[in-house]
Amino acid sequence: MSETRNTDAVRLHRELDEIWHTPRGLQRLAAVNHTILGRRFIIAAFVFFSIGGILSMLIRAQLATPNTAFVGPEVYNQIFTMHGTVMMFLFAIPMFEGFAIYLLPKLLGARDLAFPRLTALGFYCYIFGGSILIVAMLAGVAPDSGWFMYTPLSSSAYTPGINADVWLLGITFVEISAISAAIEITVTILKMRAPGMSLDRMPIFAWYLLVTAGMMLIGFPPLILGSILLELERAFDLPFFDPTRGGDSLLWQHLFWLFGHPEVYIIFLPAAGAVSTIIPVFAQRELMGYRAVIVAIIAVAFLSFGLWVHHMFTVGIPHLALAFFSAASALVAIPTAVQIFAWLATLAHGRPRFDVPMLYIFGFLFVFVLGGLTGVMLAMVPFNWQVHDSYFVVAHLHYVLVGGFVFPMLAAAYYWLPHVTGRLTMHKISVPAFWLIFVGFNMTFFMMHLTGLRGMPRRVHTYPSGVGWDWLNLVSSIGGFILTMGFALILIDVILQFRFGKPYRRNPWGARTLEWAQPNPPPSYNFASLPLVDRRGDMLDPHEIGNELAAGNGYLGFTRNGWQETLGVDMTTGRPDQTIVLPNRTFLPLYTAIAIGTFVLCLLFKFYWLSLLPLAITLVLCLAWTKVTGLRHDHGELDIGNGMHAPPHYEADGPPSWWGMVFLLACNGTLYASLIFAVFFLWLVAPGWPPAELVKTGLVLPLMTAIAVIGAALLSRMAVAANARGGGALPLLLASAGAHVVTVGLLVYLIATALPEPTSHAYAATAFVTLAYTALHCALGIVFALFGAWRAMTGFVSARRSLDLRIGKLWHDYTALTGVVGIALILVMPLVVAIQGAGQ
Amino acid sequence: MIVSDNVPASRMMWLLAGFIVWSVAFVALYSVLSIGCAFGWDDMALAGALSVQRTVLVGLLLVSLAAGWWVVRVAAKRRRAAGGTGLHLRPFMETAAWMAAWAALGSTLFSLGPVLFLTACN
Repeated sequence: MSETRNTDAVRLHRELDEIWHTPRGLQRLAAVNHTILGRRFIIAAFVFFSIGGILSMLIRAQLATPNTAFVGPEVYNQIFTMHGTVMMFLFAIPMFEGFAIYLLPKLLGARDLAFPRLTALGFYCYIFGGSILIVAMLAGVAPDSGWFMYTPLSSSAYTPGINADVWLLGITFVEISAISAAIEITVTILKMRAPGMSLDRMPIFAWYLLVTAGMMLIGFPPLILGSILLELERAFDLPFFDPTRGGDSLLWQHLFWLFGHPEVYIIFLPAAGAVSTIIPVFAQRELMGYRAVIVAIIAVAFLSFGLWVHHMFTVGIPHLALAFFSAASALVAIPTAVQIFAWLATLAHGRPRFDVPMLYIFGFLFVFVLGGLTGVMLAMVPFNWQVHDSYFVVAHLHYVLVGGFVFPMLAAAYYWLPHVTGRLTMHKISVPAFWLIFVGFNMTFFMMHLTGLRGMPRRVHTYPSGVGWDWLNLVSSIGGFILTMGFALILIDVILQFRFGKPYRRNPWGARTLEWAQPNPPPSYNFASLPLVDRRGDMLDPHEIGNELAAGNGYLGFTRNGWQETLGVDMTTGRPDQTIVLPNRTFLPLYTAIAIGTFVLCLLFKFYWLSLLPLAITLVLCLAWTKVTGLRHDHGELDIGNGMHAPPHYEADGPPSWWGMVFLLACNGTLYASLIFAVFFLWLVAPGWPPAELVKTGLVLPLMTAIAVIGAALLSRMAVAANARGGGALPLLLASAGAHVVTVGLLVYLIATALPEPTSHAYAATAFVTLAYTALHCALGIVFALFGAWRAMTGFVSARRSLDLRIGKLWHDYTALTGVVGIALILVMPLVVAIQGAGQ
Repeated sequence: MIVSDNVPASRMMWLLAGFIVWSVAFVALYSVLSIGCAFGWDDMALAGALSVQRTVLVGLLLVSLAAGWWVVRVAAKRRRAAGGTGLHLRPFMETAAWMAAWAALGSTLFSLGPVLFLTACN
């Protein structure tokens, strides 16, 4: 391969920009660059925040005085449901994603994220999914069962229109964006740091984002499963949540809060990461207790998955189980406090200087600590019972979420906005804006503690006069409007900064992280060359490093073959182990999101057969993504500068796409585990068990199915091994596809002949979903196997370039594992149900 | 180039090991509690006032604590073996893993300890 290298600095910048930049006009829709997409995520999240804010104003207008006729209960239900939904799913999570997408590569010393096209797909899924919800609201058919969509209220018996479907399908569509971002963030942090940036040298923000992304991979699947099951119930009458047919509405609550409580920490941790980054800069010393903080965020991440039932303390769970969740709920305050004390100690031991971000940090500490204290109160079962579903809970959740996310994110916005704009903040407006927000927030929500303690329930569209709630609600409403004025001022302030802010060259805050080693606004390729990190990533000298990198003295300080290159490193040590070649801009993510959106709309309007068309188009488009990936011949070790070499990622052991599949399957596995939990939960808890009719399969057919699905995986493994020996993988891959075809056939036959009618009982419905899950994975297994065969035939696979086959192998192994578990479950459940029947 | 010693990615798992034990213990006790209550184990006396339910739950708690303690011991041993101080990778990771293991063991005792004294199925 001939290589064209140029190390002249000016020419280098021009050449890099030629490769990485995104032209204006329609080409912007093809953008995959993380800087552009991060900005878009943040802007879109802010637009949705404004919509959610307007909805909250309507709520406060309605509740300002008793017996108000401003809106009726039907409209009010839609308003409060959409307020919660928009703020949680369309503002908080995407705002964090936007920050992460914009900042991560810059913070880690990379040129882009691991999967730029996936970032773009995630953005369009977010926009389209969010738009479905907003359009439904404008059309008067918005979801109206609360942002948690409890059954049976959200079941078709009580919500017969499409309102609940809009939520279930729209939010699941948006979740694609969240999952893709989580995979993106995890792989980028683990594999795409600057050379030398071992785990112990990662900036603390990267640790926070890594833990958060890991939590998303585990936390979101239960909700996705719940949404799929509820939509199946609403669309096809499969009775997962119907207690008259062996279902249980509490199953929804479990699945929802298995997601919902970790979600609170998924929102809080990135914001805490921003705080842990900003405070040391203004305290002018490194973060105290770096290692203790890392242990604390790991503890928070795990403990947050043991709290979900504290949302369900009043549903009739045994006291001992309540004690588990109560104790865990109180316990999570400890690692949170470790972080707070680390921040205070950093300030106490530093030489703090004041600026606007610190004002919001103060607001964060004040509001969040109060929210945390009421959280500990709510963790106590007797108190929780007293204030359950009252305005006390509304006050608590706003103190935690606004305190734990909005205030730190405003600090982060003021801290990093100069990075985006290349201009400095105009202080004149930002200070009064803060005080309006701080005073308005506390006026609004502190009062709600009292309204709640005086017994006012949540989600009521009005209340009678003379029960002691009048003046408290009026003060809350006035406070709400003051709060809004504060946010309006911030918007004006941001516009003024873009328009009139004072330009600067580099690092206005005296920060010590890599993102400030760039010129601002940042160039399309981030760094002209990549840094060597020889100390912790938040103890660097951006000015010195910036000059060195701009001169092309780091790694990859040249262009090669017009490739978008960055470095991949060993996960723990930061030693470069591959040259990652990233794909350039393309319209494919947009087209794919349109196809998925059309599929979602078909489901929404119940055109089920027609929905197969956009589904097929989506599959074809996904395959089209691979057209520009891969190499047709081996390259071996490539020069990466400074006397070092690394192979292209197609020839490396653990390239980003391989790890991406690992994390996708981990996420998928959590969904499957949630399904198994659902099966056992219904068996143990739901009324109407045992069912009248059980699965009758015999042993032969399930065993044949298990052998076929295991065979597909083994053949795939043999194909990888044969390829490594330089032999022919093609026939083995075709045989693997064939084994999958056989498995699908057997599963369809089992479903058609051995299962009771799936609408008859939740047992039959869960058995149907378990087998359908495996059938779907086998169908995709056919695609993976045939794709591998096609890549082998067209020269993209060699003994060194086996990535396509190894990714397929992961899929086949996973399918075999879950398939065998599913088949075992189908065989075991009739025996287990019989035991239950005998026990009763 | 200045990089730390080569450490397999699997060693990162030690950072999570203690809390993985906590997670498994939490799920196991909650599940067994539900199964026992559904099948009336609480009403089956094993010896005197000791029910089958209580025996199983306390047994599981002890197993969980033993597993958590094992992780602490291994983490401490690995930390000692790693030696050194400062920002080198191995002491950093090993010390963090040891701290996390202790935190997880304490969490197990605190959050699941109520099996020792609370009524099981009421």
